[in-house]
Amino acid sequence: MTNVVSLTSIHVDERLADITGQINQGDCVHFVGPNGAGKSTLLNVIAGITPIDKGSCTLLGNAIATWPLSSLAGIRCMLGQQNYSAFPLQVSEYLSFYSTHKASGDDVPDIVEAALEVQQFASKPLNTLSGGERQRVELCRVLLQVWPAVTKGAAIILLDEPLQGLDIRHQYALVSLLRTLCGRGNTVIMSSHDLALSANYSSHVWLLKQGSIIDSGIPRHVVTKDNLETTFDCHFAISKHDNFLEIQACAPISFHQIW
Amino acid sequence: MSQRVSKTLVVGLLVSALLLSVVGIMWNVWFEQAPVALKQHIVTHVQLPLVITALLVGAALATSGATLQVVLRNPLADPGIIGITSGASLVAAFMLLATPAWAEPFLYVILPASCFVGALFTTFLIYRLARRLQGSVTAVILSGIAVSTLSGAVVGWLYLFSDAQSLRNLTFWLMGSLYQTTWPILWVSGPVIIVSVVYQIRQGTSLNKLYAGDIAAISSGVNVQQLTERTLLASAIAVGAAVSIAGAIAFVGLLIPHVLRLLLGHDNRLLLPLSALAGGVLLLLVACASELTSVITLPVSMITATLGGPLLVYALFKGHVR
Repeated sequence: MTNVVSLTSIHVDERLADITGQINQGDCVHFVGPNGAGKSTLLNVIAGITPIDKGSCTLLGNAIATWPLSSLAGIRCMLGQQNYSAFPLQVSEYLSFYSTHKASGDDVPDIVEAALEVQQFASKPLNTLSGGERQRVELCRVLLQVWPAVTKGAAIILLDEPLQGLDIRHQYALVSLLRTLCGRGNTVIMSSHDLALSANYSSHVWLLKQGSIIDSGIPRHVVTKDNLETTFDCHFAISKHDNFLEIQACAPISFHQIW
Repeated sequence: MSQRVSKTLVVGLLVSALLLSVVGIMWNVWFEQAPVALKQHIVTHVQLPLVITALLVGAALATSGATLQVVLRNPLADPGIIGITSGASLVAAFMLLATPAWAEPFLYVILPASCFVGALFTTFLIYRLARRLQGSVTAVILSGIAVSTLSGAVVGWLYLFSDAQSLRNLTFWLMGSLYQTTWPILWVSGPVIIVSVVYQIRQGTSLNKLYAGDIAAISSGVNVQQLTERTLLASAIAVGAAVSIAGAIAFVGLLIPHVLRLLLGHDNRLLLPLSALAGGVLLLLVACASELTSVITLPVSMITATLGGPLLVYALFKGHVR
């Protein structure tokens, strides 16, 4: 199996401490952890956006810093957390600026449209969309950027909290789409706050806390009561129904002594 | 599609307005009762520089306005509103009065040069501020107000201490005029403006990728910091050169890109070259109107501000700016 991302004791000042791990082609890796655990920073490191202080990060065998931005743009995409444009751009025009798969640009591939359903607001200005609709447009933009690589099964798709704002239907549509793309040889790395969804729809889970990895591996081994309680400092109950993990968190903080 | 139709329409309209106003400006002279030699002299030394100045200055201000709006992620950015022109004219006004008597023959070099320095310095200031206050639309506008206010105050003081000739010069820098250029000045500023405007136009594809923010732009292959620094520098140079030949002309950089965005959308590959054309045409029309009503010479800024002021208020009302 081709190694796509290789991290060796990565340090980023005050954000990441000693992160080591491997991600192979076709993996669907979910980063899970509390706020400020370093999920976004780690994604930015792999995307080649945040520089590393110590350690090494290689992408397809080459150190990330040696990749020219223009070559990276063709094979890996990165969805950041929401960044609203101040301009009322039309959705189709917005997508065309980032699309590389066709000269016309405003054509969304069928499989992406099936999951994200963005064509219905293609002619609307961005600033009239709701938060979730906007997130679907952003996801579409990111996929269009590397679509030629996606169809060849060679894309690396990095998504920082892609489920943010999506309704339940589109959450499941998105994770299913990502699994399908992984099945074709693409690699997906994303952060998530939905433990159950991550446990059931990822191939690997990395638990992060305070810039370090608590545990990583296949969900069955990593998403355990002990691991989750260490990571999140609250109580969990995990059960399994029809091969589907259900995760319940119990009220973590008691207010009796405070108020 | 309708996009294509409106594109053709806008270009056609602009080109015909361009031709009409050039004819309008020349017409006036050609049918005067005067010897041909005099008429030729007027055309080559007054009318032609006027036409070229209008085109260059309009193109510089409108293109730089369009670029600044995208780079500073601020639909309200305009070389005037964010203070670049005030900064430029402030330094020029100061030099006008600070220059000792023996250096006065060199004023025609000193003034444009100090304009230039003023524009670059103000842009640097705004760039630092915009970087520190990431994404804050108001911060950039407020810094523009700060620079303009300071500039207004200093100019007020300069008024108190200046003689009649300096006063007239000052008014030129503050209100803008297309009639102060001479060929030697155009030979220097012209190429500077053309190069910096063409540079900005060529960045259209990269600038388009800034709409979704820094991470999206870097991820799609744009070196954001380099692009930001170079396009800001190019627009500062263009504006500095424009102010140095025509003084402070308000609102062209806001008015033109804003109207074009409403008509044609936000694609910078289209928006930047058409802003250059439309900006030039707007000032040419102003010059033409001023020529044909030859009784009075209309101050350029008065007309552009009359058009631009209401537009700014409208943009604020429509919530194009948050």
